[in-house]
Amino acid sequence: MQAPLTSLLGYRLKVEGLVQGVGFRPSVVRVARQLGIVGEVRNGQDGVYIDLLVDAAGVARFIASIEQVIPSQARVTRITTTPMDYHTPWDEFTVQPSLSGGGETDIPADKALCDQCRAELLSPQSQYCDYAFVSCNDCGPRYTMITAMPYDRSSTAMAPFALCETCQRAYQGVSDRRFHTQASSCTHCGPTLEYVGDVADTGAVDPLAIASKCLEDGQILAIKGLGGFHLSCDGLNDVAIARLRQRKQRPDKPLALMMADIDQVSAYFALTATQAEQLTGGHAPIVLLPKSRQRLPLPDGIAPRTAYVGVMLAYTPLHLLLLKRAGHPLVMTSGNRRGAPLCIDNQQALQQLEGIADGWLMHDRTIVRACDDSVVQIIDDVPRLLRRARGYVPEPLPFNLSERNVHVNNVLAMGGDVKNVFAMTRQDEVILSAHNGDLGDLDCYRHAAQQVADLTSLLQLKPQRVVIDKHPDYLSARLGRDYALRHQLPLVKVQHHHAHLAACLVDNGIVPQRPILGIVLDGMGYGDDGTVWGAEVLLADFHHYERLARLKPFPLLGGEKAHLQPWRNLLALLDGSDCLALGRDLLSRRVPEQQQRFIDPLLGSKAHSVLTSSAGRLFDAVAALLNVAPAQVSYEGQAAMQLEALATHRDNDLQLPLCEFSRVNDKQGVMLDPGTWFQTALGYLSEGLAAEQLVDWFHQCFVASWVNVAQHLRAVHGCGDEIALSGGVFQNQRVLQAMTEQLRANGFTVYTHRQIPCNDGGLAAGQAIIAAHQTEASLCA
Amino acid sequence: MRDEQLITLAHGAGGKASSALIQSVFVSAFGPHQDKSLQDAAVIDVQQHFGAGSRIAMTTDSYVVSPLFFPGGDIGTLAVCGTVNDLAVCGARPLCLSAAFILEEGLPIRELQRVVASMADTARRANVSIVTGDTKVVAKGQVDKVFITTTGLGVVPPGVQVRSDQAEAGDAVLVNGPIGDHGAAIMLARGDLGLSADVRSDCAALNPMIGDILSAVPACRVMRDATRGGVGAVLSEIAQASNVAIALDENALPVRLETQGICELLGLDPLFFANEGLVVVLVPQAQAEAVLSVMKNHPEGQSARQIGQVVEQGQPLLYINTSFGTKRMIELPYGIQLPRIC
Ligand SMILES: [Fe+3]
Ligand SMILES: [Mg+2]
Ligand SMILES: [Zn+2]
Ligand SMILES: [Zn+2]
Repeated sequence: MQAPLTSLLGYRLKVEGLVQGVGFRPSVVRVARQLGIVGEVRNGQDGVYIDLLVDAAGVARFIASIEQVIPSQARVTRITTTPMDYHTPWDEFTVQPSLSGGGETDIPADKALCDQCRAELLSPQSQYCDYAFVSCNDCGPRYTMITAMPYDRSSTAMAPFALCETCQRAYQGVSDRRFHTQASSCTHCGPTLEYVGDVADTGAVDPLAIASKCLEDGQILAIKGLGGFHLSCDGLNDVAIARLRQRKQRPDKPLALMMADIDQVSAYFALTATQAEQLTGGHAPIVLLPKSRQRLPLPDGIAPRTAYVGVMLAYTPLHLLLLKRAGHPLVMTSGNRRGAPLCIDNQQALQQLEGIADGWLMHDRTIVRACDDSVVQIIDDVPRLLRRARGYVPEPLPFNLSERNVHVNNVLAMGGDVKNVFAMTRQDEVILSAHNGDLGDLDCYRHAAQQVADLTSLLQLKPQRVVIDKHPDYLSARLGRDYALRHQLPLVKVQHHHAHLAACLVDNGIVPQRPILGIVLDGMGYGDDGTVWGAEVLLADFHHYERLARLKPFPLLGGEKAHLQPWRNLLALLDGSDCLALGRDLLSRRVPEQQQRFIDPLLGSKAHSVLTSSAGRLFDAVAALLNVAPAQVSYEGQAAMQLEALATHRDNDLQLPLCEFSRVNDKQGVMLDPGTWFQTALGYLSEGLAAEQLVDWFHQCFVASWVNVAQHLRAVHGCGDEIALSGGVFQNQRVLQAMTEQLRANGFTVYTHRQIPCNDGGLAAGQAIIAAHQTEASLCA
Repeated sequence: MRDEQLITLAHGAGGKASSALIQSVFVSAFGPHQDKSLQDAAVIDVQQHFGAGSRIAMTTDSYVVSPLFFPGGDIGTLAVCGTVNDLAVCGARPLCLSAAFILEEGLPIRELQRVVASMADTARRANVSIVTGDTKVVAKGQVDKVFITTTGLGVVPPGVQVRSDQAEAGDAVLVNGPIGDHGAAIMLARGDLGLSADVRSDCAALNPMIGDILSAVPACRVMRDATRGGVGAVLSEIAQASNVAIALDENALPVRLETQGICELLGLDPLFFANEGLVVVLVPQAQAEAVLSVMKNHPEGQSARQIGQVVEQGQPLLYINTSFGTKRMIELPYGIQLPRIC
């Protein structure tokens, strides 16, 4: 080859955003070849680099054409153009190996099986027929498969699988759907399935056939999916479901169902367009479908005593093959031991799910990192993420920073403790981690620590600050302190409900120009006064907050036990409402026999108990009062969910007058006292009204109390009409809907959660934005 | 009925009332000493105690407790046991104690005598003498009845070396008895729970038992007196100091049913309940049995057992292997135990 005599003029484009693993480079190649431009494209660690031998007009034309064909999943945030002198005499346009080194880039999230791959999977004519790992530029594993960036096959779990000749052709074919699809493979060259477990003597050798038979026989299978193992059983078999619950020690918490396609879901539920859209979209979350719109019966054991059934569509080819063979829904619940992290490794699953699963359907493609199924609830026709994980993580969310107030770009926010999600920010984006479980479990704690290290290195981020909750005993705070110490970073503490409120503002793209109102109704958050907060109106921006109103505090009788036994909160609230004498009789019916002897000692322990204003515990008390709560809950929020389920089935005929919580003004602000409500409710019960007739009335009174206090505070403090609603209680559809409606009717602009969960899964986003707004000086203080 | 004698401010004024109190209450209880002259300091003959390599150990502690008297002991037993045990777990043979009293005006002298008598009795059984002391009286309300400070002096024999930073992977974690009894007994004795249960404080001087352990198994690496903060606090300190992970076995934790009941009721973890006669011993696993059998030769060690193990070096962690197969983190609370659930 002869050396070029002169340098050749051209341009280098750097394209930033979500541009790797989403079919971006194939589009570039197609455009370049169409326009007859020579050069090359390659992935770099901080974006895609395109070298073109063209003049200025050619570049402009090229960019315009690229903008027309950006793949649906890609997101271009910036294109930088630099004139270059080239010494390479290109004669065509090619894809080159990736560059390493450099700054940051986006990691693509996993995507559900696309329609085209689905068709191939189910078509006897296709080479991918029945192939459990079919994938293309539009679908398949990404985040859970990547070991490092740039996104090349050699840095994914597909590295050990060398492409066969056919697959190689597709991989190199610019116009092929599998052009540079890193997960691409076929039966000849890809991962293989394996079944481990006692196999009935049917002569079957195909792991899929064996697994299907076992499910049909009512067995419980551990199935290796995209971001971890599932535990699965026949979704219509009561006995199998009961067995799964018993073995997993999960007596009541709802189980998710997986269905084959939207037609199957439509047979069971009358779907709205939004529900159908959520189910069939590329994120493929679990969508909570109201039982009130159910068409065909499902076993009670799937989601006992709640208002919803969680349903997702088969989102991997393997799942779809199982669902097609089953012919009806399958239970798919997370494959872990109670409280432990999700299993992702074959050996680990064999060990940890021993005694739970009867058999294991696995494969030899490594899951690089765990990612739970996401959960979406649709309220007011707006999809709201309750758990943001598979399909969404680690897509960045916009993080509206007002330039002049921001003091650092990269913040690491540690989140909460029980549904731990941490967050990292970079300039105007926030990236939320997957769910790391309850950090009170050592394995979850270690998992979270490892995820922090993993995500910082994958995203090439160097946090400048670490932010933790104010709770002195949070394990997430311990993780954060350790990280800050190791990297010599300043540590910021943010109050739990200030963070919830800020998360809601981030979710709505709001940068408050002056403090705005927020109603935070939550389980618990450590307060500045050493008590446990959980129901308040804050006046806040990203710097400060003021607690203007709160629920009247009551003792948390027995600390952590009060979270498990709703009747303890009923006892505390009846006592605090001066109606213990009136309620004694009822109490003796609500408190389990063997715990009756605890009543007086608990009242005696009042003085030593922590005080709380938790809305969650108030709901527990009401659920106990109205005989809706179990003696001991087996999952977080159970009593409130069972209460909500009855509210949606309310008896419309009964019109009881509203009984709002009394408003008491004291030097700390406004206090809402539910005393009169409890007295009135006891009165109704003694008059013979059925407890379930009071469920919706409670929701109405509760909502009206907060709406009115918000109006009062707006008038007194002269704050604007904007108001944000946050905290775990807003997962309750009845509360969110009614409160939004009434606030709007009173002229408020209401911000609610959508992309960032209103529960602790969204906490870190709020922590991060508050920390980014602290000045250096305030950090030292 | 005879008028009850009460502490008055005069008892603290340094006059006749003071010396009368000292003679009638303290000297008569803590004596006899070779030196009867009540000088400003006790002078200890060290010759008989010291060989080459011996070291002096010294500790001090203040005791405040409400109520003063509780099942299993009183503030006096605590004041002696606590200081004696602090010396013993450092490998020291306790020699003598000082005792300083702050008395509230109005305290019945009979109650003071009761306290002092149990101090004397406990000291005798622990084989230490109370050789010097001090008394102050303050106006009513400035202290709660009586506060006692004791300082202890002991000798660590040559070769004995127990420290908190010496735990190593593979060490067994042993205790001499049920955990949390003192905390539970005090909580019940306060009376506001309105419960009566048969829980006695485990208050005991452990120096005879610990002395025997150290002679039989000099390889013991760590010994800690698990008082306020309980076994949990002591073990997290050891994990920090030695930079090791300690795993406890939920099923092996000795907790009396009554103590467990109170923990259930109040949602508290017995690991963080106080003990006053409980030693935590870390010893290479191979010698664990030897230590346990020495413990069992003593009345305070009847239910001695292994509760866990040091599992690895490199990161300070304390956790419990639960009965359903998970590992629950144990984090020493900053203050009172608060729930983490949201
Ligand atoms: Fe929260
Ligand atoms: Mg001490
Ligand atoms: Zn596809
Ligand atoms: Zn192939």
